[in-house]
Order: sequence, then C-alpha cells, then structure tokens
Amino acid sequence: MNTFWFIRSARLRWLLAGIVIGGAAIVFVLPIGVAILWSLVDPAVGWFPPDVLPSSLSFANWRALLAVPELADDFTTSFTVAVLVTLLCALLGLPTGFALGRRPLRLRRVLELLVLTPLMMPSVVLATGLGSVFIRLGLGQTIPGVVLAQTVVVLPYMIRIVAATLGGVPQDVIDAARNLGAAPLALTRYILVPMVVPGLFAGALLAFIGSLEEFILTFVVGMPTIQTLPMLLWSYLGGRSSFLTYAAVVSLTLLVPTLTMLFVVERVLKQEYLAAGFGKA
Amino acid sequence: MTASTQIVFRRARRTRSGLGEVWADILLLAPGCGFLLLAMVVPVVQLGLASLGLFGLGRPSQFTLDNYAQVFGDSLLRGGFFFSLRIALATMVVSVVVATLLTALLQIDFPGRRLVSVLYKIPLVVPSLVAAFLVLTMIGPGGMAARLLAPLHVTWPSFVHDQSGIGIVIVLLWHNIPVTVLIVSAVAAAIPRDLVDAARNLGASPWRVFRHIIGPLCAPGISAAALLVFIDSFGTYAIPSLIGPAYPRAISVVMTTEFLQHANWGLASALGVVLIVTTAVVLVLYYRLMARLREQAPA
Amino acid sequence: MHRLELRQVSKRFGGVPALDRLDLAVHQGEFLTLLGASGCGKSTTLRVIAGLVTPDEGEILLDGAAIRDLPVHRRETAMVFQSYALFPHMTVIGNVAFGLKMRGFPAAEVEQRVAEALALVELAALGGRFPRQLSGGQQQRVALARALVTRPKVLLLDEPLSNLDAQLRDRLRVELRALQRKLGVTTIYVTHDQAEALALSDRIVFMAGGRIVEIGTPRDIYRRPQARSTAEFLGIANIVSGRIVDTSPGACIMETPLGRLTLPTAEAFRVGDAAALCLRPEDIRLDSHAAGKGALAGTIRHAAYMGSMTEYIVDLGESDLSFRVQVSGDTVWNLGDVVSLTLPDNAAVFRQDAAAQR
Repeated sequence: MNTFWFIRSARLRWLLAGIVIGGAAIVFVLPIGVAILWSLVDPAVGWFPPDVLPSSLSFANWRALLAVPELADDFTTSFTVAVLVTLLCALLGLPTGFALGRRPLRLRRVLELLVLTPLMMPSVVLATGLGSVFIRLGLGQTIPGVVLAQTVVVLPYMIRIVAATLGGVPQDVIDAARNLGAAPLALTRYILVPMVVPGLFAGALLAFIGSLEEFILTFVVGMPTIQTLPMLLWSYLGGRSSFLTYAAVVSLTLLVPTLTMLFVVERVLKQEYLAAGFGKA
Repeated sequence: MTASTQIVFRRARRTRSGLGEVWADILLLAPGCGFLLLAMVVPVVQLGLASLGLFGLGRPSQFTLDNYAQVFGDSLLRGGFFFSLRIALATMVVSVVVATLLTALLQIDFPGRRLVSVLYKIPLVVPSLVAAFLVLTMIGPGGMAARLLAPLHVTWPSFVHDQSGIGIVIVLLWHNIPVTVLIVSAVAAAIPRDLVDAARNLGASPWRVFRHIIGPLCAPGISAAALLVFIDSFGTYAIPSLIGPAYPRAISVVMTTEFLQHANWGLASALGVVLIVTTAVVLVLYYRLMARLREQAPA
Repeated sequence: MHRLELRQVSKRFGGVPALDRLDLAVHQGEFLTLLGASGCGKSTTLRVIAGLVTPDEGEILLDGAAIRDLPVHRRETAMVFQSYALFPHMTVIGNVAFGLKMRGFPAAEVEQRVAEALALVELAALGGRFPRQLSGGQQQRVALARALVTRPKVLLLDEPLSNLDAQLRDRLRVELRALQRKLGVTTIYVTHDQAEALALSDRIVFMAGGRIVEIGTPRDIYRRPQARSTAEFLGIANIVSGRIVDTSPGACIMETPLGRLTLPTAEAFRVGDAAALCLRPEDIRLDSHAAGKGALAGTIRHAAYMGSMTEYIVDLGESDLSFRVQVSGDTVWNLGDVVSLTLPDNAAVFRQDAAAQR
C-alpha cells in the first residue's frame, strides 16, 4: 500500500492515531464485547436499562446451546449444509476456475460477467424465483434444495478464487518442470498442487463461511422445516419474539469460526485475491 | 497449445484443429457456468411468468396484468418501493464518502495504522443478521448508547421501526463500508507511486494530487463499488424485516411476505420483476454514464 | 552424426509464421548461439527443441533419432529460462534435485550429484534457502545447476543473463563459457545481444523473420557478413549503396556516392547489380587533412569518449553520408576538424536486392 506523509508533525499523527483507533475500536470491537456480555447474562436476572453492565453473569445461555433442541439442531443443520455446499462448490468450481484461470477463452469476458451475475442480482429475487421453482420440483424445504440455493450465491466466490490461484502459477515454472522430466502426474503432484493448495484452501474456507452466513435464500427455500443458525437468529431478533440473550449466543457461535477464519485467510491470500473474490473486476 | 492442456487432455495434443480444444473448454466450463446460468435464468423466467398469472401455484394459469396494476396502483406498495430506493441511495452515497475518506486516511502513515487496517475488516465476516443484532444492542432502544447517555438525561432518539429507515441505513453502512474500503484501497494501491511523485514534483499540493490524479484514477473502481452497495441495499431483506417500520415496508419485505405467508405468487413475482428491472435500469444508466465520462475525458 | 538436427521446421502462430523451413545442424559439444532481434524466432526454435512448442512441419533429430513426437518430459534436453522459473515452494536443493527425482535416481546418488552441481556453480552454502531469499545472480546459478545436474544431451539457455546488471552479466558470461567447456555439453544459447554472442559462441546463427540468415563463427560473421541485415545487427554501422560498374576475378568496381571504388570481393557480381558496401567503424583510419593521405575528406560532427575508444561521426564531403568511426584511445579530433578517411582493403560487399530481401 502506498503511504504518504501529509501530516508532518509527530504529535498530530499520534492524535490522528488516537482518534482513528478509538473510533475503530468503538465501531468494530465494542459491539462484539457487548454481544459477549449479552451471551453471559444470567437468565434469571436479565439485563435491563439503566444498567450499563449486567449485574450477574452466568453460562446458562451457553449451556442452553446443548440443551435447547432447536439450537443444537440448527447448529447441525448449518454445518452439514455448509460442508455439502463447500463440496458442491469445489466440484463445480474447480474445473470452471481452471478453465478461466489457465485456458485461452474467446468468450472470457462474457463468462467472467456470468460468474459475477448471481452477486449482482438482488438476492431476494433469486430466493423467490428459486423458491418457486424448487417447490414445483419438490425440493422446497429440503436439504438438497437449500444446498443448491446457497451454492448459487457462493459458487462465484469459489470460481474467482480458484481462477486467480490457478492462473497465478507462472507458465515458466510448469515448462521448467516438464523440461526437467516431470510427467503430467508428477507435475501435478510436486508442482501444481503445492503451489495451489493455499489458495484453494482459502476458497473452500470462503465457501464454508458464505454458506454458514447465508440467510435469505435459505429462509425462503427452507422455511419452516429446514432451519439454519441465521434463521434461528432472525427469529430470536424479533421475527417471532425478541430473545436477545439467545440471539447473542447464536451470533457469537456464528462469529467465532468466521473471525478466526478471517485471520487465516488474510495470511494466506494476498489483498488482490480477496478483492477479486468480492467482485472487483 | 499450453502445457496445462497437455496435462489434462493428452489426446487433444494430436488434433491439429482447435475442435478438441473447444470441447475441452466446454467440458471444463459446463459445471460451474452451466449451473449458474441455469440457476439464474430459470428463476427469472419463473418470476416473469408468475407475475403475469401463468404457472402460479394453486391457481389456474391465466394471463393477467392485475399484479402489475396492483404494484403500481397500490399506494402502500409504491411507498415501499420508494422507501427501498431511498435507503439504497443513502447507503450508497454515505458508504462511498466514508470509504473514500477512510482509504485516504489509511494512506497516511500513523502509528497503529496496521491495527486499524485489520479492525475495519471485522464486519466482512459478520453476517448481516449478526450485524443487525450488534447494531441493535448498541443503538437500539435500551441499547448501550441509550444506557450510557441516560445519566446525562439525554433522550436517545429512536433508530428502529421509524419511518425514515435510519436504523436500517446504519446497519447497512456497518456491513458495507468495509467491503467498499477494501475495493477502493485496492484501486488506490494500483496507482503507480511514480504518478503521485510526478504530480508533486510539478507543484501539486496533497489535496490537488488527490483531486486531479488519485481521484479520477480511482473513480471507475469507486463507482463500481458504489453500484454493488446500491444493488445490495436495494434488495436487502433481513434487516428491514427486523427493524423496519410497519409502514412503509421495504419492497423485499412485502415480496417475501406475499410469497411465504399469502402464497400470492403473482404479486410477489411482479414485485420481483420490478426489482430486477430497477436494478437493470440502474446498471444501464451506470454504464452509459461511465461511457460518457470516458468520452469526455480522453485519456 | 550431428548431436542435434532440425530439418525444414516450420511453425505458425495464428497465421503469423514464427519459423520458416528451418534447417540447422548442431555439433557435439559446441556452443551455438541463436542471435537476432525480438520476434525473429530464436526463442521459438529453442522451445521447439525442448518440446514446449510442436512444429507444424519438419523433423527434429537428437543423435539421429526423431524426437518430434516425444513429450517434453521425456526429451533429454534441459532449459534455463529467462525468468529462471525456480520452484518457489522448494529449497535450492529441492530445485536442483527435481530433475534427478523425476528420472528416478536413488536418494544417495541424488544427494551427491546435487552437491556436485551446487559446488560447480559455487552455491554450496545456500542449499537450504528458498528462491525468494536469493539475489538475481544466485537464482540464475541455481537455474543453471538444476539444468546441468541432469547431464542433458543438449543444454538450452533462453537469454539467461538479460535480467542481470552489466557487471554481473559480464562475470557470469565468462563463468558460463568456462563451465560449458569443462563439461563439454552441447549448448544452444539465445540472445539479442550481439556482443554476448560474439564473446561466447563457437558458431553464431543469425536469424530474422523465422529464417536463418547466416551461420558462421564469430570471426567470420563479423569480418565477412554475408547479408546486410547481419551487418546492421552486428553494429557494422556504415553501409553505402551503389552499383557495380565493372568486375574482375576476386574484385569489382562499384560506383557509389563517394566515387568509384575498387573493392576485393568473392561474390560473383554482374555489371549493373545493385550492391552495398559495409565498413566497420574500427577499420576506417582518420588522418589530418593536411597530411594528404586517404581518399575521402570529411568533417568531424560528433565525438564521444567511451573509455577504451572514442567514437566520431564524420560528415563526408559532397554526399549526405556520414560515417561512424571508432579510434582507440583518447580523443584526438575536435568538432569541426577536417580529416581524411582511409577505407580498409577488406570491406564487405554484398548484393543490395538480396540483402534487402533478407
């Protein structure tokens, strides 16, 4: 990243640092702290205004995760669907990403636009459209239906990352390996796979996260039989009633894996790949 | 012929014509692109047909324009459309402005810059529902902000369920600004350092450098990001459904309610078509604007 | 039998001919350089030999055996790439060992040969490093070791020194040639730098437009280029067009803007042929006008001191021509000085129209 030093005085820079870090902490970090507090509120006492801090803490809400059947069920559903979606995206995305990344294609720009289009369509439109089609096909309110629906909005990310990763292997390195005697299988095993695995891993991670978080399509296609954690969270936030403590637990459950994954992905992928995954052409 | 072709398709090496290559391409592209094509075309066609009264569920197929008449005629639905539009525009404008400022800020070398550049990415992995929850607990009625200010006898204004939709916009901003910053800073980083140095060498102050060099070069990327934010905010469902007002209800909320609760496929589909058409119009206008700007400013 | 032979090899990329009926024979143990401007087909020729490009027509013979249909990984050639193409995820040792590993050598032998190769290129201490931790010169040597360790029948080098700074390039050039002589491996080297080609090669193949223009030893090519394009590429800067007005065995008389010149030549001209005269800058002698020697008079227009010699641009009397003249040592003449030029006895003469075609 280019850095400039428009501000020469060191004192001003520290002031700026203070403001920006303080602001960032309040906006980005504090809410999570508050969510953690909410998850630890003692259900017998509650946390009502004007208390700035909860008067009594307990792990009761977290234990409920194991006790309340719907929490445990939705947890399982969410992660099962996520695994299936990741696998499906890998199956569909690897060959296509390979083609977009390494083969000369005449319709390349059109295809790249096609891959981006699911992200450009309003998801509620996709949800309703797919929902109605699935109901006709008998896939409404089934796991396969939800998996297929989620794949539509997760696959573009996978394809773009696979294409960027596979395309990033210099042709010279492949030529050199073949020149030194690597048959196709050896080439794949010793050269291609090691160079490509980190990026693919990040792609799979992003697909997994995308599936866990996905709400609107899962909601429209799966409601009410198939319930994932986001749908549960929605109901705790006021869909049916407001249940802030449980909402906090579900939120944090959704957050912990994804936040840790963020740091892993950040280290593995370069910034350009990350932006490529998000649709910057 | 590239080496990778020979790895995957040894036989293709023999063919002198490109036909084997074309089949290889099709085979490779079919899973991903084919799936996506199917998954987008079929639902849109279904929506189009259902909006016209054909192939709906439970009702006999009959061509009708009643659904569209309702969409345009009913004041509630019209109000919802413009409500969604206002929210999307507000979110787009504010997020672009804030993201640009934040990007510019991050170009300045201050202590803790790296920390901030990690912190701002947190919302990227927070699902929008969780974002709604977090923002609610902070600025909702009885939220942290309200409780912190209570001793000072300051009434905290209501941000949820109000007709201006401000709470919705705030949640959308929390969710969208980091993505926009990511895109804008990637675009800014792509500007060769030499250009800035040359401008400064020729006498441009930092502000002028931004206005005449960095700004124009970033503009296409920024506008693309803005477009994404707009489209995302226009059709968003979860947040308006949770903290939106009873009236006017966002178009996506009405659509989903009609579809799921009233099984009114016709109306829901018509609303969906209106959504798509609006998005398409915005896209076309965007491309036209970009093309015209490119003409006016010969590189 | 030649070590390597190319017979009538042709290759087109989308309609553009990259190689046009190429015929080439490479001797065992020689250092052959393919020299030419960008796009002349020299890199394509190298890649055809390695098997990375399949020719449309023609045959490639290695020790008499046809290898055109042999896949890349089964040819016994080893290539050093311009970008070095080191495997980023392997250490230096891993990189160098790769070719041996592919060929299935036992671990003990691999270890020993890798150590030998690294010692050969003087990188024995850096075996455990990764490519990104090495300098450009070090990376280049790893690439070289990686290629040599497999004891290939033909070593292919694609502008391996072009990414290095001048001093390093000169030093590595010397080392490279010494190494090649020591090992006796047949080597084909690609470059656009004519000084490099002249310094390194046993023979030079000058290429243009996908064809071989001429082949010869460095001395032959430089002293007696057969084609105008060769002469121009080699920096023989002074070319004068004219017409043959008389011929005799071993000589000809040419009418040029500089007057009528008698020149020795082996080419069989006919009266009326268009021809071109090539004069090397260092062959022209300058004397002061007052001395009265030399056939031509000229005025010094430009003088550049280049360390080992001084280069002058001399405007020639009545004509529009100017000559580039190099005189060793310090500057003697100043701008505006009037000098007389003596042309060498052995200037090369070739046909103008044939040269224009090439």
